[in-house]
Amino acid sequence: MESVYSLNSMNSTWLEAASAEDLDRLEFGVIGIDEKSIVRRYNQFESRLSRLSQDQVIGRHLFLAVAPCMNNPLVAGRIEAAQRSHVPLDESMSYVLSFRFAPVAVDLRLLCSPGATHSYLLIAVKD
Amino acid sequence: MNKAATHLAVAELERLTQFMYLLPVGLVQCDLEGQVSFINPLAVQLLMPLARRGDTLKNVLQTFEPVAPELRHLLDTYREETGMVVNMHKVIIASTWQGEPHPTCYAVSIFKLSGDAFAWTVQDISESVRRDRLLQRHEAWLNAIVAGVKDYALTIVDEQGCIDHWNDSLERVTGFSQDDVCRRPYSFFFKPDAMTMDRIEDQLHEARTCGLSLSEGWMRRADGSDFWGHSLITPLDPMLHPTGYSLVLRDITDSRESLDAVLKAALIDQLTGVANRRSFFEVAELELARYARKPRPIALLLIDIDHFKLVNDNHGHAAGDAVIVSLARLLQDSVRSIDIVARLGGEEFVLLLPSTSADMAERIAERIRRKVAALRVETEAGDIHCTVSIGVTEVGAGTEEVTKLLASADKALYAAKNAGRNRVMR
Repeated sequence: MESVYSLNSMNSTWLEAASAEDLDRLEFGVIGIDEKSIVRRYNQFESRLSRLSQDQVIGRHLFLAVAPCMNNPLVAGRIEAAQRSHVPLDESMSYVLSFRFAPVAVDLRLLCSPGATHSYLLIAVKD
Repeated sequence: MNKAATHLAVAELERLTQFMYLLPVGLVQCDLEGQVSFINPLAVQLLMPLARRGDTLKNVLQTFEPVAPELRHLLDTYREETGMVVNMHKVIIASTWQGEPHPTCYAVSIFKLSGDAFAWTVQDISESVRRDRLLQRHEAWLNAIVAGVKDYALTIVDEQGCIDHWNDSLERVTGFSQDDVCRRPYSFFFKPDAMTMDRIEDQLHEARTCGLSLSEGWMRRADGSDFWGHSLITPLDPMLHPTGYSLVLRDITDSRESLDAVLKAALIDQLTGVANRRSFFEVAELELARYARKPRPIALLLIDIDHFKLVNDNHGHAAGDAVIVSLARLLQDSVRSIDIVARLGGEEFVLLLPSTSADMAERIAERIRRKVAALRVETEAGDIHCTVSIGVTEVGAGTEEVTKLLASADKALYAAKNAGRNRVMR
């Protein structure tokens, strides 16, 4: 099933229904956070990218304790605004993350859906 | 190394990494060209909102170029082997993100580690800047009172700002006689393009609500000579004079130069001598606060040199700098003293025109465009000809904040670029 799924083909419904194993099979990073920005889902691919194990990450605040590089109006601001006003968000952008203290260009997709338990950040490293 | 020692070293490294990772200060290391070798997550958080399309933070000087072009110059000209290049250098960021009415302010420090390695810290200091501004006002006020006063003129103006009482001191400082000045608005003492009726009303309002209003500007004497004057306006005792104000004028031409040196470092763009980004934002915010109280026409021009990258590529950076300096001079010569000319960054300039409608501003922009198109900049790399694109906008519904006003002008500028450059769009 791997190749069928790309960062752009994802949607909230699929992600919410996916098991942890399903997410681990994906070839891009998936981070799922709750309405308080606490990390609830974190797949293998993302774990390899950041070199942070799921245990180190699950249950912690994404923007304060895991990925401060996204704690600005571009990412955290957009997600928080969507959650606050209960409107759907589907935003794709070029972004840069700091992995092991080097800037890494990534494609980033933000997905929030008012009914869903989690908001998702999907991350693919650019070639 | 034995196994236990290796394990300890790894644990140490892990702890250090964790510490650096969550440090609440942006940290960057770069070489002389700005190439990044190290960047922590907080630096990414702060720099991404500055990044132009396609910027992947590989070069920190490039990322800062649009908002703080002076950093490259400071790095280039720092001669010591090691030491502080800049300490808490203020950089104003126009945040166009919704829900952020105030511009953000960063403090950048750069420390030279060795010949080709520089360590940067970047902090968001927006909150403390807002608090400091109030303090600065008080400081300016104290300065005005205690600074060495040689001579001053004291008079009284009515609620329209017209001279009510004439006295000897007025003649001593300005040379004007009673007949010259009585019943005239105090703009009379200023050079014709240095004071408007709108500004007089603003200052009287400021005096009434804040207790005083201070300003500086070019003033004139009866013999036609100019002086750099300072004015202090305070409301009179409301019981005795419910509508009057006292006006104190001082000639501070002598102390201006020492004051200038201090102000220049902070408020003037080093390359061109026009206002820098920071002072533009301060003045624009003040002007918009006045607008919020009483709407009046205010226009803004955003000016960008066409194909500037080609100038740099074909003729070198020194020639590019010469073009920027010439444009700055042309802009300064094209406007009134009350208008603000500022270099926003790189090859981008902004003009803020108080009491000017968009129609007028469009005509001014067109005049500037034509003057630039006719300009030949002499450089060591030969004469350079260039053109500009100009976006025109005015303050109105939806553009009552500096960042929104700039965004509106930027849209017009973008349209001008798309329509083929060397043109003015609104």
